[in-house]
Amino acid sequence: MNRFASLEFDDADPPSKRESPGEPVRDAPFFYRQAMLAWLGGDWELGLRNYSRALERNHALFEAWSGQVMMLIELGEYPEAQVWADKALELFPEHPELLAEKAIACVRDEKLTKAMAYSDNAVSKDRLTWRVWLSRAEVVMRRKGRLAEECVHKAVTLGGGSVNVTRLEAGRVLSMHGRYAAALEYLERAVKDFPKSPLAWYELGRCQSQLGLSQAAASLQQALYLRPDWPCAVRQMDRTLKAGLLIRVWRRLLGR
Amino acid sequence: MQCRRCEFENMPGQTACFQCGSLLSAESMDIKVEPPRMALWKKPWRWFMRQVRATRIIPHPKAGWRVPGWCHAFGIGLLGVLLSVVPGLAHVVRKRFRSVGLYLALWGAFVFGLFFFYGGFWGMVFLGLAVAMHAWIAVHAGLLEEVSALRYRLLALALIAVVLAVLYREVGRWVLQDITGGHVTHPVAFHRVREGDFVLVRRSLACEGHLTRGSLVLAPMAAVYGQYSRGARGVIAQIVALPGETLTVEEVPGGGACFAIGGERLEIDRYPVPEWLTMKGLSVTVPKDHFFLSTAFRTRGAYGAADVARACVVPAAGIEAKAFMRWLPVWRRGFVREVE
Repeated sequence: MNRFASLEFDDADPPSKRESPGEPVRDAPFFYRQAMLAWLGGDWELGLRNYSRALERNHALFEAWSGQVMMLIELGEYPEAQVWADKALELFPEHPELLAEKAIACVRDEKLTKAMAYSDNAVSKDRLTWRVWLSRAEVVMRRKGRLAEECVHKAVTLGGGSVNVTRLEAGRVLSMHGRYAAALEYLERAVKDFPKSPLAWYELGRCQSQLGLSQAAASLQQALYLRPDWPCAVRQMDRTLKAGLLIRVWRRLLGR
Repeated sequence: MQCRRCEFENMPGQTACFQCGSLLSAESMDIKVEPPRMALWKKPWRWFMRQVRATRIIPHPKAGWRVPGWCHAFGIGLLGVLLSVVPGLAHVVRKRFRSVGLYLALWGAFVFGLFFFYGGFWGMVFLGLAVAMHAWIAVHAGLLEEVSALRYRLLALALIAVVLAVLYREVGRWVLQDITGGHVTHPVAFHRVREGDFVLVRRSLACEGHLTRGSLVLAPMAAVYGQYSRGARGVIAQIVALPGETLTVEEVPGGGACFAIGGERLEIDRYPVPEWLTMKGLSVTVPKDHFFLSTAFRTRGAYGAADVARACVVPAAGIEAKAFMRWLPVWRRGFVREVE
Protein backbone atom coordinates (compact mmCIF):
# COMPACT_ATOMS: atom_id res chain seq x y z
CA MET A 1 0.00 0.00 0.00
CA ASN A 2 1.21 3.47 -0.79
CA ARG A 3 2.33 5.20 2.34
CA PHE A 4 0.91 8.55 1.17
CA ALA A 5 -2.43 7.16 0.14
CA SER A 6 -4.24 8.33 3.24
CA LEU A 7 -2.95 11.87 3.12
CA GLU A 8 -5.52 14.51 2.17
CA PHE A 9 -4.61 17.55 0.09
CA ASP A 10 -7.16 20.24 -0.76
CA ASP A 11 -5.92 20.72 -4.28
CA ALA A 12 -5.68 17.08 -5.09
CA ASP A 13 -8.18 15.57 -7.54
CA PRO A 14 -10.18 12.65 -6.25
CA PRO A 15 -8.73 9.46 -7.62
CA SER A 16 -10.75 8.30 -10.59
CA LYS A 17 -11.33 4.82 -11.86
CA ARG A 18 -9.72 5.71 -15.15
CA GLU A 19 -6.40 6.38 -13.56
CA SER A 20 -6.44 3.22 -11.59
CA PRO A 21 -3.31 1.14 -12.03
CA GLY A 22 -3.40 -1.41 -14.85
CA GLU A 23 -5.70 0.54 -17.12
CA PRO A 24 -4.02 2.82 -19.65
CA VAL A 25 -4.84 6.50 -19.84
CA ARG A 26 -7.10 7.09 -22.83
CA ASP A 27 -5.22 10.02 -24.24
CA ALA A 28 -4.14 10.85 -27.77
CA PRO A 29 -1.07 8.57 -27.80
CA PHE A 30 -3.21 5.69 -26.52
CA PHE A 31 -5.70 6.01 -29.37
CA TYR A 32 -2.87 6.55 -31.78
CA ARG A 33 -1.36 3.25 -30.66
CA GLN A 34 -4.76 1.61 -30.99
CA ALA A 35 -5.06 2.99 -34.48
CA MET A 36 -1.66 1.60 -35.38
CA LEU A 37 -2.67 -1.78 -34.01
CA ALA A 38 -5.86 -1.65 -36.06
CA TRP A 39 -3.79 -0.82 -39.13
CA LEU A 40 -1.48 -3.76 -38.44
CA GLY A 41 -4.60 -5.86 -38.19
CA GLY A 42 -5.85 -4.60 -41.54
CA ASP A 43 -8.96 -3.10 -39.94
CA TRP A 44 -9.11 0.27 -41.67
CA GLU A 45 -12.47 1.30 -40.20
CA LEU A 46 -11.28 0.77 -36.66
CA GLY A 47 -8.03 2.50 -37.46
CA LEU A 48 -9.88 5.52 -38.79
CA ARG A 49 -12.07 5.66 -35.70
CA ASN A 50 -9.06 5.51 -33.41
CA TYR A 51 -7.22 8.20 -35.33
CA SER A 52 -10.30 10.40 -34.97
CA ARG A 53 -10.39 9.71 -31.23
CA ALA A 54 -6.73 10.58 -30.99
CA LEU A 55 -7.45 13.86 -32.74
CA GLU A 56 -10.32 14.60 -30.42
CA ARG A 57 -7.77 14.56 -27.60
CA ASN A 58 -5.07 16.42 -29.46
CA HIS A 59 -5.85 18.35 -32.61
CA ALA A 60 -2.19 19.05 -33.20
CA LEU A 61 -1.22 15.40 -33.54
CA PHE A 62 -0.04 15.35 -37.11
CA GLU A 63 0.38 11.56 -37.26
CA ALA A 64 -3.33 11.17 -36.56
CA TRP A 65 -4.29 13.50 -39.39
CA SER A 66 -1.95 11.67 -41.70
CA GLY A 67 -3.27 8.34 -40.46
CA GLN A 68 -6.86 9.38 -41.13
CA VAL A 69 -6.00 10.22 -44.71
CA MET A 70 -4.21 6.90 -45.14
CA MET A 71 -7.14 5.00 -43.69
CA LEU A 72 -9.50 6.72 -46.13
CA ILE A 73 -7.18 5.71 -48.94
CA GLU A 74 -7.09 2.12 -47.71
CA LEU A 75 -10.89 2.15 -47.61
CA GLY A 76 -10.92 3.23 -51.26
CA GLU A 77 -12.47 6.63 -50.51
CA TYR A 78 -10.03 8.62 -52.59
CA PRO A 79 -11.95 11.89 -53.09
CA GLU A 80 -12.72 11.97 -49.37
CA ALA A 81 -9.04 11.33 -48.63
CA GLN A 82 -8.12 14.31 -50.76
CA VAL A 83 -10.69 16.51 -49.06
CA TRP A 84 -9.38 15.46 -45.70
CA ALA A 85 -5.78 15.97 -46.74
CA ASP A 86 -6.74 19.50 -47.80
CA LYS A 87 -8.30 20.01 -44.39
CA ALA A 88 -5.11 18.79 -42.73
CA LEU A 89 -3.06 21.02 -45.02
CA GLU A 90 -4.90 24.03 -43.59
CA LEU A 91 -3.46 23.12 -40.20
CA PHE A 92 -0.07 21.93 -41.50
CA PRO A 93 0.54 24.03 -44.59
CA GLU A 94 2.61 22.54 -47.38
CA HIS A 95 3.37 19.45 -45.34
CA PRO A 96 5.14 17.05 -47.72
CA GLU A 97 3.58 13.98 -46.18
CA LEU A 98 0.06 15.25 -46.74
CA LEU A 99 0.93 16.18 -50.31
CA ALA A 100 2.37 12.70 -50.75
CA GLU A 101 -0.85 11.18 -49.44
CA LYS A 102 -2.82 13.24 -51.92
CA ALA A 103 -0.56 11.83 -54.61
CA ILE A 104 -1.33 8.31 -53.39
CA ALA A 105 -5.06 9.04 -53.40
CA CYS A 106 -4.82 10.35 -56.95
CA VAL A 107 -2.71 7.51 -58.27
CA ARG A 108 -5.05 4.90 -56.83
CA ASP A 109 -7.99 6.82 -58.28
CA GLU A 110 -6.26 6.63 -61.70
CA LYS A 111 -5.62 10.38 -61.87
CA LEU A 112 -2.00 10.05 -62.85
CA THR A 113 -1.29 13.59 -63.99
CA LYS A 114 -2.53 15.05 -60.72
CA ALA A 115 -0.70 12.37 -58.77
CA MET A 116 2.56 13.26 -60.44
CA ALA A 117 1.99 16.96 -59.72
CA TYR A 118 1.34 16.32 -56.03
CA SER A 119 4.30 13.99 -55.81
CA ASP A 120 6.56 16.56 -57.48
CA ASN A 121 5.32 19.18 -55.03
CA ALA A 122 5.91 16.88 -52.06
CA VAL A 123 9.41 15.95 -53.15
CA SER A 124 10.34 19.60 -53.62
CA LYS A 125 9.80 20.35 -49.90
CA ASP A 126 12.29 20.18 -47.07
CA ARG A 127 12.47 17.48 -44.41
CA LEU A 128 11.04 14.67 -46.46
CA THR A 129 9.70 11.60 -44.72
CA TRP A 130 9.66 7.99 -45.84
CA ARG A 131 6.01 8.37 -46.81
CA VAL A 132 6.94 10.96 -49.44
CA TRP A 133 9.41 8.60 -51.11
CA LEU A 134 7.03 5.67 -50.93
CA SER A 135 4.31 7.73 -52.58
CA ARG A 136 6.85 8.76 -55.19
CA ALA A 137 7.65 5.12 -55.77
CA GLU A 138 3.97 4.34 -56.18
CA VAL A 139 3.46 7.11 -58.71
CA VAL A 140 6.57 6.12 -60.64
CA MET A 141 5.54 2.47 -60.65
CA ARG A 142 2.08 3.34 -61.94
CA ARG A 143 3.72 5.22 -64.76
CA LYS A 144 5.99 2.25 -65.42
CA GLY A 145 9.04 4.25 -64.47
CA ARG A 146 12.34 2.58 -63.68
CA LEU A 147 13.30 4.54 -60.57
CA ALA A 148 10.58 3.10 -58.34
CA GLU A 149 12.79 0.71 -56.43
CA GLU A 150 15.35 3.44 -55.79
CA CYS A 151 12.55 5.51 -54.26
CA VAL A 152 11.57 2.56 -52.07
CA HIS A 153 15.17 2.13 -50.92
CA LYS A 154 15.31 5.81 -50.11
CA ALA A 155 12.08 5.55 -48.12
CA VAL A 156 13.43 2.64 -46.11
CA THR A 157 16.64 4.54 -45.49
CA LEU A 158 14.61 7.49 -44.18
CA GLY A 159 12.48 5.18 -42.05
CA GLY A 160 14.51 5.87 -38.91
CA GLY A 161 12.65 4.76 -35.82
CA SER A 162 9.70 3.49 -37.78
CA VAL A 163 11.72 1.53 -40.30
CA ASN A 164 9.71 -1.61 -39.58
CA VAL A 165 6.49 0.18 -40.55
CA THR A 166 8.30 1.55 -43.59
CA ARG A 167 9.37 -1.93 -44.65
CA LEU A 168 5.84 -3.24 -44.35
CA GLU A 169 4.46 -0.32 -46.34
CA ALA A 170 7.21 -0.67 -48.93
CA GLY A 171 6.37 -4.33 -49.35
CA ARG A 172 2.69 -3.52 -49.71
CA VAL A 173 3.35 -0.84 -52.31
CA LEU A 174 5.62 -3.11 -54.35
CA SER A 175 3.19 -5.97 -54.12
CA MET A 176 0.28 -3.74 -55.10
CA HIS A 177 2.06 -2.90 -58.33
CA GLY A 178 2.99 -6.46 -59.16
CA ARG A 179 6.65 -6.41 -58.08
CA TYR A 180 6.27 -9.45 -55.91
CA ALA A 181 9.87 -10.57 -55.80
CA ALA A 182 11.04 -7.19 -54.53
CA ALA A 183 8.10 -6.98 -52.14
CA LEU A 184 8.85 -10.40 -50.71
CA GLU A 185 12.18 -9.23 -49.33
CA TYR A 186 10.53 -6.40 -47.37
CA LEU A 187 7.55 -8.42 -46.26
CA GLU A 188 9.68 -11.24 -44.88
CA ARG A 189 11.41 -8.64 -42.72
CA ALA A 190 8.04 -7.15 -41.84
CA VAL A 191 6.65 -10.40 -40.46
CA LYS A 192 9.75 -10.70 -38.29
CA ASP A 193 9.17 -7.17 -37.03
CA PHE A 194 5.43 -7.67 -36.57
CA PRO A 195 4.88 -11.35 -36.01
CA LYS A 196 1.39 -10.71 -34.64
CA SER A 197 0.28 -8.51 -37.53
CA PRO A 198 -2.37 -10.14 -39.73
CA LEU A 199 -1.70 -7.47 -42.35
CA ALA A 200 1.96 -8.39 -42.66
CA TRP A 201 1.19 -12.10 -42.91
CA TYR A 202 -1.59 -11.52 -45.38
CA GLU A 203 0.59 -9.39 -47.63
CA LEU A 204 3.39 -11.93 -47.41
CA GLY A 205 0.98 -14.73 -48.24
CA ARG A 206 -0.44 -12.86 -51.19
CA CYS A 207 3.03 -12.16 -52.51
CA GLN A 208 4.11 -15.77 -52.10
CA SER A 209 0.93 -16.90 -53.78
CA GLN A 210 1.59 -14.68 -56.76
CA LEU A 211 5.09 -16.05 -57.02
CA GLY A 212 3.79 -19.60 -56.85
CA LEU A 213 5.59 -20.33 -53.59
CA SER A 214 4.31 -23.16 -51.46
CA GLN A 215 4.64 -21.14 -48.22
CA ALA A 216 1.73 -18.92 -49.28
CA ALA A 217 -0.90 -21.10 -47.66
CA ALA A 218 0.98 -21.16 -44.36
CA SER A 219 1.36 -17.37 -44.34
CA LEU A 220 -2.28 -16.84 -45.09
CA GLN A 221 -3.18 -19.42 -42.49
CA GLN A 222 -1.17 -17.42 -40.00
CA ALA A 223 -3.01 -14.24 -41.01
CA LEU A 224 -6.34 -16.01 -40.52
CA TYR A 225 -5.19 -17.37 -37.20
CA LEU A 226 -4.40 -13.85 -36.01
CA ARG A 227 -7.58 -12.39 -37.48
CA PRO A 228 -10.13 -15.11 -38.06
CA ASP A 229 -12.67 -14.69 -40.87
CA TRP A 230 -10.84 -11.75 -42.41
CA PRO A 231 -12.62 -11.62 -45.78
CA CYS A 232 -9.55 -10.56 -47.81
CA ALA A 233 -7.44 -13.31 -46.35
CA VAL A 234 -10.19 -15.89 -46.79
CA ARG A 235 -10.56 -14.96 -50.45
CA GLN A 236 -6.83 -15.05 -51.01
CA MET A 237 -6.60 -18.39 -49.26
CA ASP A 238 -9.30 -19.80 -51.53
CA ARG A 239 -7.51 -18.52 -54.60
CA THR A 240 -4.21 -19.93 -53.40
CA LEU A 241 -5.64 -23.34 -52.66
CA LYS A 242 -7.51 -23.45 -55.97
CA ALA A 243 -4.43 -22.59 -58.00
CA GLY A 244 -3.32 -25.76 -59.75
CA LEU A 245 0.17 -27.04 -60.25
CA LEU A 246 0.47 -25.58 -63.72
CA ILE A 247 -0.56 -22.13 -62.52
CA ARG A 248 1.93 -22.30 -59.69
CA VAL A 249 4.71 -23.40 -62.01
CA TRP A 250 3.75 -20.63 -64.43
CA ARG A 251 3.85 -18.05 -61.65
CA ARG A 252 7.10 -19.46 -60.37
CA LEU A 253 8.65 -19.11 -63.80
CA LEU A 254 7.23 -15.75 -64.76
CA GLY A 255 6.62 -14.12 -61.37
CA ARG A 256 8.72 -11.10 -60.71
CA MET B 1 7.60 25.39 -27.95
CA GLN B 2 9.43 23.67 -30.77
CA CYS B 3 7.71 22.89 -34.03
CA ARG B 4 7.97 19.20 -34.81
CA ARG B 5 8.15 19.80 -38.50
CA CYS B 6 10.65 22.62 -38.93
CA GLU B 7 12.09 22.56 -35.41
CA PHE B 8 11.60 26.30 -35.08
CA GLU B 9 11.49 27.47 -31.47
CA ASN B 10 8.22 29.35 -31.06
CA MET B 11 7.05 31.58 -28.24
CA PRO B 12 5.05 29.78 -25.56
CA GLY B 13 1.29 29.98 -26.07
CA GLN B 14 1.43 30.13 -29.87
CA THR B 15 -0.97 27.82 -31.64
CA ALA B 16 0.77 27.76 -35.01
CA CYS B 17 4.45 27.66 -35.92
CA PHE B 18 5.79 31.10 -36.79
CA GLN B 19 8.00 29.67 -39.52
CA CYS B 20 6.03 26.93 -41.28
CA GLY B 21 2.49 27.58 -40.07
CA SER B 22 1.99 24.08 -38.69
CA LEU B 23 -0.42 23.61 -35.82
CA LEU B 24 1.38 23.49 -32.47
CA SER B 25 -1.49 23.32 -30.08
CA ALA B 26 -5.20 23.54 -30.71
CA GLU B 27 -6.69 23.29 -27.29
CA SER B 28 -8.82 26.39 -27.69
CA MET B 29 -9.68 25.74 -31.33
CA ASP B 30 -12.85 24.03 -32.47
CA ILE B 31 -11.73 21.69 -35.20
CA LYS B 32 -13.82 19.01 -36.85
CA VAL B 33 -11.94 15.73 -36.62
CA GLU B 34 -14.42 13.34 -38.27
CA PRO B 35 -13.54 12.90 -41.93
CA PRO B 36 -16.23 12.87 -44.64
CA ARG B 37 -17.26 9.40 -45.76
CA MET B 38 -18.31 8.05 -49.08
CA ALA B 39 -21.98 7.27 -49.57
CA LEU B 40 -22.48 3.60 -50.39
CA TRP B 41 -24.29 4.28 -53.65
CA LYS B 42 -21.26 6.14 -54.99
CA LYS B 43 -19.01 3.10 -54.75
CA PRO B 44 -19.99 1.32 -57.99
CA TRP B 45 -20.04 4.58 -59.93
CA ARG B 46 -16.59 5.52 -58.72
CA TRP B 47 -15.34 2.05 -59.48
CA PHE B 48 -16.70 2.36 -63.01
CA MET B 49 -15.12 5.77 -63.54
CA ARG B 50 -11.83 4.47 -62.20
CA GLN B 51 -11.94 1.61 -64.69
CA VAL B 52 -12.68 4.08 -67.48
CA ARG B 53 -9.69 6.16 -66.45
CA ALA B 54 -7.53 3.07 -66.02
CA THR B 55 -8.32 1.65 -69.44
CA ARG B 56 -7.39 4.99 -70.98
CA ILE B 57 -10.03 5.27 -73.69
CA ILE B 58 -8.02 8.25 -74.82
CA PRO B 59 -4.59 7.26 -73.60
CA HIS B 60 -2.14 9.82 -72.37
CA PRO B 61 1.44 9.18 -73.47
CA LYS B 62 2.93 11.25 -70.69
CA ALA B 63 1.30 8.98 -68.16
CA GLY B 64 3.73 6.28 -69.19
CA TRP B 65 1.23 3.91 -70.73
CA ARG B 66 2.72 1.63 -73.30
CA VAL B 67 0.25 2.60 -75.96
CA PRO B 68 1.58 3.00 -79.50
CA GLY B 69 1.95 6.62 -80.53
CA TRP B 70 -0.25 6.22 -83.59
CA CYS B 71 -2.98 4.69 -81.45
CA HIS B 72 -2.91 7.61 -79.07
CA ALA B 73 -2.84 10.13 -81.89
CA PHE B 74 -5.74 8.32 -83.54
CA GLY B 75 -7.77 8.41 -80.32
CA ILE B 76 -7.12 12.10 -79.76
CA GLY B 77 -7.67 12.86 -83.44
CA LEU B 78 -10.96 10.97 -83.47
CA LEU B 79 -12.15 12.86 -80.41
CA GLY B 80 -11.24 16.15 -82.10
CA VAL B 81 -13.07 15.17 -85.31
CA LEU B 82 -16.15 14.14 -83.35
CA LEU B 83 -16.16 17.39 -81.43
CA SER B 84 -15.61 19.43 -84.57
CA VAL B 85 -18.62 18.03 -86.43
CA VAL B 86 -20.86 20.53 -84.69
CA PRO B 87 -19.04 23.88 -84.65
CA GLY B 88 -18.95 25.24 -81.12
CA LEU B 89 -19.39 21.85 -79.45
CA ALA B 90 -15.70 21.53 -78.72
CA HIS B 91 -15.76 25.00 -77.18
CA VAL B 92 -18.77 24.14 -75.04
CA VAL B 93 -16.97 21.02 -73.84
CA ARG B 94 -13.87 23.08 -73.08
CA LYS B 95 -15.98 25.78 -71.44
CA ARG B 96 -14.92 28.47 -73.89
CA PHE B 97 -18.41 29.79 -74.23
CA ARG B 98 -17.39 33.11 -75.73
CA SER B 99 -15.98 31.39 -78.81
CA VAL B 100 -19.14 29.35 -79.46
CA GLY B 101 -21.09 32.20 -81.05
CA LEU B 102 -18.16 33.26 -83.21
CA TYR B 103 -17.55 29.78 -84.59
CA LEU B 104 -21.25 29.15 -85.15
CA ALA B 105 -21.64 32.47 -87.02
CA LEU B 106 -18.57 31.78 -89.16
CA TRP B 107 -19.72 28.29 -89.95
CA GLY B 108 -23.20 29.55 -90.82
CA ALA B 109 -21.67 32.14 -93.19
CA PHE B 110 -19.48 29.54 -94.88
CA VAL B 111 -22.34 27.08 -95.32
CA PHE B 112 -24.58 29.84 -96.71
CA GLY B 113 -21.83 30.80 -99.17
CA LEU B 114 -21.37 27.14 -100.07
CA PHE B 115 -25.06 26.72 -100.92
CA PHE B 116 -25.40 30.10 -102.61
CA PHE B 117 -22.48 29.42 -104.93
CA TYR B 118 -22.98 25.66 -105.10
CA GLY B 119 -21.49 24.20 -108.26
CA GLY B 120 -19.11 27.07 -108.92
CA PHE B 121 -15.62 28.19 -107.96
CA TRP B 122 -16.78 30.27 -105.00
CA GLY B 123 -18.89 27.38 -103.79
CA MET B 124 -15.73 25.30 -103.65
CA VAL B 125 -13.93 28.12 -101.84
CA PHE B 126 -16.66 28.29 -99.19
CA LEU B 127 -16.69 24.51 -98.93
CA GLY B 128 -12.95 24.62 -98.38
CA LEU B 129 -13.34 27.32 -95.73
CA ALA B 130 -16.04 25.37 -93.90
CA VAL B 131 -13.95 22.21 -93.99
CA ALA B 132 -10.87 24.14 -92.91
CA MET B 133 -12.80 25.57 -89.98
CA HIS B 134 -13.91 22.11 -88.91
CA ALA B 135 -10.37 20.83 -89.30
CA TRP B 136 -9.07 23.75 -87.27
CA ILE B 137 -11.52 23.01 -84.48
CA ALA B 138 -10.74 19.30 -84.72
CA VAL B 139 -7.02 19.88 -84.43
CA HIS B 140 -7.40 22.45 -81.68
CA ALA B 141 -9.77 20.28 -79.71
CA GLY B 142 -7.67 17.20 -80.08
CA LEU B 143 -4.24 16.85 -81.53
CA LEU B 144 -2.72 20.28 -80.97
CA GLU B 145 -2.35 19.64 -77.27
CA GLU B 146 -0.40 16.49 -77.93
CA VAL B 147 1.42 17.13 -81.19
CA SER B 148 4.03 19.84 -81.02
CA ALA B 149 6.13 19.44 -84.19
CA LEU B 150 4.95 21.69 -87.02
CA ARG B 151 5.13 18.99 -89.69
CA TYR B 152 2.98 16.66 -87.65
CA ARG B 153 0.49 19.44 -87.01
CA LEU B 154 0.28 20.16 -90.73
CA LEU B 155 -0.02 16.48 -91.52
CA ALA B 156 -2.80 16.10 -88.95
CA LEU B 157 -4.56 19.18 -90.32
CA ALA B 158 -4.39 17.83 -93.88
CA LEU B 159 -5.60 14.39 -92.87
CA ILE B 160 -8.49 15.75 -90.88
CA ALA B 161 -9.39 18.13 -93.71
CA VAL B 162 -9.57 15.18 -96.13
CA VAL B 163 -11.71 13.18 -93.70
CA LEU B 164 -14.04 16.13 -93.18
CA ALA B 165 -14.27 16.90 -96.90
CA VAL B 166 -15.41 13.33 -97.54
CA LEU B 167 -17.82 13.67 -94.64
CA TYR B 168 -19.23 16.89 -96.08
CA ARG B 169 -19.67 15.29 -99.50
CA GLU B 170 -21.48 12.28 -98.11
CA VAL B 171 -23.66 14.31 -95.77
CA GLY B 172 -24.50 16.70 -98.62
CA ARG B 173 -25.47 13.78 -100.84
CA TRP B 174 -27.60 12.29 -98.11
CA VAL B 175 -29.37 15.55 -97.28
CA LEU B 176 -29.94 16.55 -100.93
CA GLN B 177 -30.74 13.12 -102.29
CA ASP B 178 -33.21 14.44 -104.90
CA ILE B 179 -31.26 17.45 -106.08
CA THR B 180 -27.98 17.55 -107.92
CA GLY B 181 -26.50 19.68 -110.66
CA GLY B 182 -24.77 19.68 -114.01
CA HIS B 183 -22.93 21.96 -116.39
CA VAL B 184 -24.47 23.01 -119.66
CA THR B 185 -22.40 22.25 -122.78
CA HIS B 186 -25.01 23.18 -125.38
CA PRO B 187 -26.53 26.68 -125.19
CA VAL B 188 -30.31 26.96 -125.57
CA ALA B 189 -31.54 30.51 -126.09
CA PHE B 190 -35.09 29.75 -125.01
CA HIS B 191 -33.93 28.47 -121.61
CA ARG B 192 -31.42 31.32 -121.29
CA VAL B 193 -28.59 28.88 -120.67
CA ARG B 194 -25.12 29.17 -122.08
CA GLU B 195 -22.14 26.91 -122.23
CA GLY B 196 -20.61 26.55 -118.78
CA ASP B 197 -23.76 27.45 -116.84
CA PHE B 198 -24.65 25.31 -113.86
CA VAL B 199 -28.24 24.09 -113.55
CA LEU B 200 -29.94 22.29 -110.70
CA VAL B 201 -31.75 19.07 -111.54
CA ARG B 202 -34.25 16.95 -109.65
CA ARG B 203 -34.22 13.19 -109.84
CA SER B 204 -37.89 12.91 -108.96
CA LEU B 205 -38.82 14.78 -112.18
CA ALA B 206 -37.09 12.23 -114.43
CA CYS B 207 -40.24 10.23 -115.00
CA GLU B 208 -43.03 9.94 -117.53
CA GLY B 209 -45.18 13.04 -117.63
CA HIS B 210 -42.36 15.40 -116.74
CA LEU B 211 -40.16 14.56 -119.73
CA THR B 212 -41.40 16.61 -122.66
CA ARG B 213 -39.80 17.92 -125.83
CA GLY B 214 -37.39 20.71 -125.05
CA SER B 215 -36.73 19.67 -121.43
CA LEU B 216 -33.16 19.91 -120.17
CA VAL B 217 -32.15 16.63 -118.58
CA LEU B 218 -29.13 15.05 -116.98
CA ALA B 219 -28.22 11.84 -118.75
CA PRO B 220 -25.17 9.67 -119.34
CA MET B 221 -24.50 10.17 -123.03
CA ALA B 222 -22.75 7.26 -124.72
CA ALA B 223 -19.55 8.22 -126.52
CA VAL B 224 -19.17 8.40 -130.28
CA TYR B 225 -15.81 6.73 -130.91
CA GLY B 226 -15.08 7.21 -127.24
CA GLN B 227 -13.61 10.63 -127.90
CA TYR B 228 -16.11 12.87 -126.15
CA SER B 229 -14.72 15.32 -123.69
CA ARG B 230 -17.16 14.23 -120.96
CA GLY B 231 -17.30 10.55 -121.84
CA ALA B 232 -20.20 8.61 -120.42
CA ARG B 233 -20.67 10.81 -117.38
CA GLY B 234 -23.90 12.69 -116.95
CA VAL B 235 -24.23 15.80 -119.06
CA ILE B 236 -27.04 18.31 -119.48
CA ALA B 237 -28.83 17.61 -122.77
CA GLN B 238 -32.09 18.67 -124.41
CA ILE B 239 -34.86 16.29 -125.35
CA VAL B 240 -35.57 16.81 -129.07
CA ALA B 241 -37.45 13.72 -130.20
CA LEU B 242 -39.91 11.60 -128.26
CA PRO B 243 -40.39 7.80 -128.54
CA GLY B 244 -41.52 6.64 -132.00
CA GLU B 245 -40.70 9.92 -133.76
CA THR B 246 -38.33 10.26 -136.72
CA LEU B 247 -35.83 13.09 -136.43
CA THR B 248 -33.97 14.62 -139.34
CA VAL B 249 -31.55 17.49 -139.62
CA GLU B 250 -32.35 19.93 -142.42
CA GLU B 251 -30.47 22.83 -143.84
CA VAL B 252 -31.90 26.28 -143.27
CA PRO B 253 -31.80 28.90 -146.02
CA GLY B 254 -29.11 31.40 -145.14
CA GLY B 255 -26.88 28.82 -143.42
CA GLY B 256 -27.20 26.59 -140.39
CA ALA B 257 -29.46 23.63 -139.67
CA CYS B 258 -32.57 22.77 -137.76
CA PHE B 259 -34.25 19.67 -136.41
CA ALA B 260 -37.36 18.34 -138.11
CA ILE B 261 -39.77 15.82 -136.63
CA GLY B 262 -41.73 13.90 -139.22
CA GLY B 263 -40.80 16.55 -141.79
CA GLU B 264 -42.00 19.42 -139.61
CA ARG B 265 -39.22 21.84 -138.65
CA LEU B 266 -38.65 22.85 -135.06
CA GLU B 267 -37.84 26.41 -134.00
CA ILE B 268 -34.11 27.02 -133.96
CA ASP B 269 -34.03 29.16 -130.80
CA ARG B 270 -35.93 26.50 -128.87
CA TYR B 271 -34.16 23.49 -130.35
CA PRO B 272 -30.72 24.62 -131.52
CA VAL B 273 -28.67 22.05 -133.43
CA PRO B 274 -25.21 21.47 -131.98
CA GLU B 275 -22.42 21.99 -134.42
CA TRP B 276 -21.35 18.39 -134.56
CA LEU B 277 -24.87 17.30 -135.66
CA THR B 278 -25.16 19.64 -138.64
CA MET B 279 -24.63 16.83 -141.11
CA LYS B 280 -26.66 16.35 -144.21
CA GLY B 281 -29.13 13.53 -144.41
CA LEU B 282 -29.11 12.66 -140.72
CA SER B 283 -32.25 10.69 -139.97
CA VAL B 284 -32.91 8.82 -136.74
CA THR B 285 -36.06 6.99 -135.70
CA VAL B 286 -36.42 6.93 -131.91
CA PRO B 287 -37.44 3.51 -130.55
CA LYS B 288 -40.13 3.02 -127.93
CA ASP B 289 -39.14 4.12 -124.38
CA HIS B 290 -36.21 6.11 -125.74
CA PHE B 291 -35.53 9.82 -126.28
CA PHE B 292 -33.30 11.70 -128.70
CA LEU B 293 -31.10 14.09 -126.72
CA SER B 294 -28.95 16.77 -128.24
CA THR B 295 -25.90 18.22 -126.62
CA ALA B 296 -22.51 19.50 -127.65
CA PHE B 297 -19.66 17.07 -127.97
CA ARG B 298 -16.14 17.41 -129.15
CA THR B 299 -15.59 14.71 -131.72
CA ARG B 300 -12.74 13.49 -133.84
CA GLY B 301 -12.88 11.85 -137.25
CA ALA B 302 -15.86 10.86 -139.37
CA TYR B 303 -19.10 9.48 -138.02
CA GLY B 304 -22.42 8.49 -139.49
CA ALA B 305 -26.08 8.40 -138.60
CA ALA B 306 -25.68 5.06 -136.83
CA ASP B 307 -23.06 6.57 -134.51
CA VAL B 308 -25.28 9.56 -133.79
CA ALA B 309 -28.20 7.27 -132.97
CA ARG B 310 -26.00 5.28 -130.62
CA ALA B 311 -24.77 8.43 -128.90
CA CYS B 312 -27.96 10.48 -128.69
CA VAL B 313 -30.78 7.99 -128.43
CA VAL B 314 -31.01 7.34 -124.71
CA PRO B 315 -33.41 4.97 -122.95
CA ALA B 316 -35.96 6.68 -120.70
CA ALA B 317 -34.60 4.77 -117.71
CA GLY B 318 -31.16 6.25 -118.40
CA ILE B 319 -32.31 9.82 -117.88
CA GLU B 320 -31.24 10.64 -114.35
CA ALA B 321 -32.85 13.96 -113.61
CA LYS B 322 -34.60 16.95 -115.08
CA ALA B 323 -33.36 20.53 -114.81
CA PHE B 324 -35.59 22.88 -112.87
CA MET B 325 -33.38 25.87 -112.05
CA ARG B 326 -30.58 27.91 -113.55
CA TRP B 327 -28.22 28.30 -110.63
CA LEU B 328 -24.96 29.84 -111.83
CA PRO B 329 -24.13 32.49 -112.82
CA VAL B 330 -26.08 34.18 -110.11
CA TRP B 331 -27.45 36.96 -112.39
CA ARG B 332 -29.18 34.40 -114.60
CA ARG B 333 -30.60 32.48 -111.67
CA GLY B 334 -34.22 31.45 -112.20
CA PHE B 335 -36.56 28.55 -112.83
CA VAL B 336 -36.40 26.69 -116.14
CA ARG B 337 -39.58 27.07 -118.20
CA GLU B 338 -41.29 24.26 -120.04
CA VAL B 339 -40.96 24.54 -123.83
CA GLU B 340 -44.17 22.71 -124.69
